[in-house]
Amino acid sequence: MTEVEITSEVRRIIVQVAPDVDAAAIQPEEDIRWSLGIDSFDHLRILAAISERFGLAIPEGDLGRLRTLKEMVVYIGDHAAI
Amino acid sequence: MIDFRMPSLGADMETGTLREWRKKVGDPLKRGDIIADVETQKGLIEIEVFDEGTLHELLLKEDAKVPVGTVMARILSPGEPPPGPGSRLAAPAQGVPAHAIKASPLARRIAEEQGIDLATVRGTGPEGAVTMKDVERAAAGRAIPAGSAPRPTGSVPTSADEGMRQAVAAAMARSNREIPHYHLETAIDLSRALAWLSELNAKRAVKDRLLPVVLLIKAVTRALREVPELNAAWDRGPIRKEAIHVGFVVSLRTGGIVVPAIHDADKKGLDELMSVLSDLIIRARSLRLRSSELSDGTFTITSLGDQGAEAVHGVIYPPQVALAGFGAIGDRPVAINGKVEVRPMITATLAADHRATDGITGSRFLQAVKAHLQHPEAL
Repeated sequence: MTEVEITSEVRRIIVQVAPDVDAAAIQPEEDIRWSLGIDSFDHLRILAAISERFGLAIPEGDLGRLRTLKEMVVYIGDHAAI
Repeated sequence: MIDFRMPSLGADMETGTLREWRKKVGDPLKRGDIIADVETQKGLIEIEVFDEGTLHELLLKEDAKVPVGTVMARILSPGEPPPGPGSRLAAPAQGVPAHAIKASPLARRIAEEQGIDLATVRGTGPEGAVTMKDVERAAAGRAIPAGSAPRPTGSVPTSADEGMRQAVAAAMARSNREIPHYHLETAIDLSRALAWLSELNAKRAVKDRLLPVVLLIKAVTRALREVPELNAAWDRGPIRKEAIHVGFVVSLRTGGIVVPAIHDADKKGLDELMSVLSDLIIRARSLRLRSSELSDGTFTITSLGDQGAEAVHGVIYPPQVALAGFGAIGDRPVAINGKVEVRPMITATLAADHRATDGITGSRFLQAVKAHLQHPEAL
């Protein structure tokens, strides 16, 4: 899977979890808490969906480091067997 | 014969629009059944019944405006015969479903507010459903009536958001006008609670993990058991509530807030609280809640930690008499046994009605919350 494909998939997951956000507002390097109004419940659901979709066991300590689209995409690229 | 009335849907809603009857005349009813969908400024609300029996009569047509307290239907108690000779079960008030046109609740509300006939709007949503954007497009395409004032530059269009804002404004203005608030706060060391939670979560898949707010809610319910004066309503005097139904403030990304209640929050374990709260937040954001979830809250919790506020000094949701607020968890220096240490801290606040309690009661409550959070394994 290419970085572009991973990015597209993560965007899809974010919109699936929070259908009321503006997909066009998802900027790669912006913290989704501030730019999209994502709260901790949504954030956990997004990471749970990423974990299942990419077969990742995301350790508890890594959750706080995955706040932007770019961070999520890089993390998936580094850790997932894709 | 039981009169079924439009229930209260919280302090900020006085009327709704009956969108659809979910039951028909002659249907058996049991407690908790959904009898109707009513649209309010806070979304499409599923109206529950709290009596058993048989639906005898529907008194309102779909799309009727319904003030709180209006008799909407009549229910025969179990075993009760229909009244009088010549009396018969009334036919449903309206045979054709009002929802023949598929549309989201938000789209319906905007269309109604702007006088747009949904039948004239082409839907682009799932199965051709009319979406908010479809309605806004239709509204934008209409000519501005002659003589109408131009919208000020930079202003936001009138929409459902405005209805929500008005509902929040009404409740908060009433609270501020009627309730003499007092405010207290305390800083709480979350070292033990977070370490315990981290250890618990480490063994779980991401989808099964717990968030710190669940510990906060549980600690609050324990504290309310010890300080029951704060789990109450005010109606010309304090009325203590036996059940603890915690209203949780959910902010909507489209603007405004809703405060659905977690029923019997004190009786739920941490996993169940997490599950119930996740479900409530999803349904609150899609504007689909049940009437009891909007009317039954006995105490409110607001948490603004996700948005970075260090402390929140809230406004009580009437007729309740208290609200707890939590800010962001952050590392702060604290004095521990004469030395300065950096600990993960949170500021807990209490807004309480001074007619119902005094500061000493509020202080006992905050100390109880603090104490429970030092023993997370017992929550």
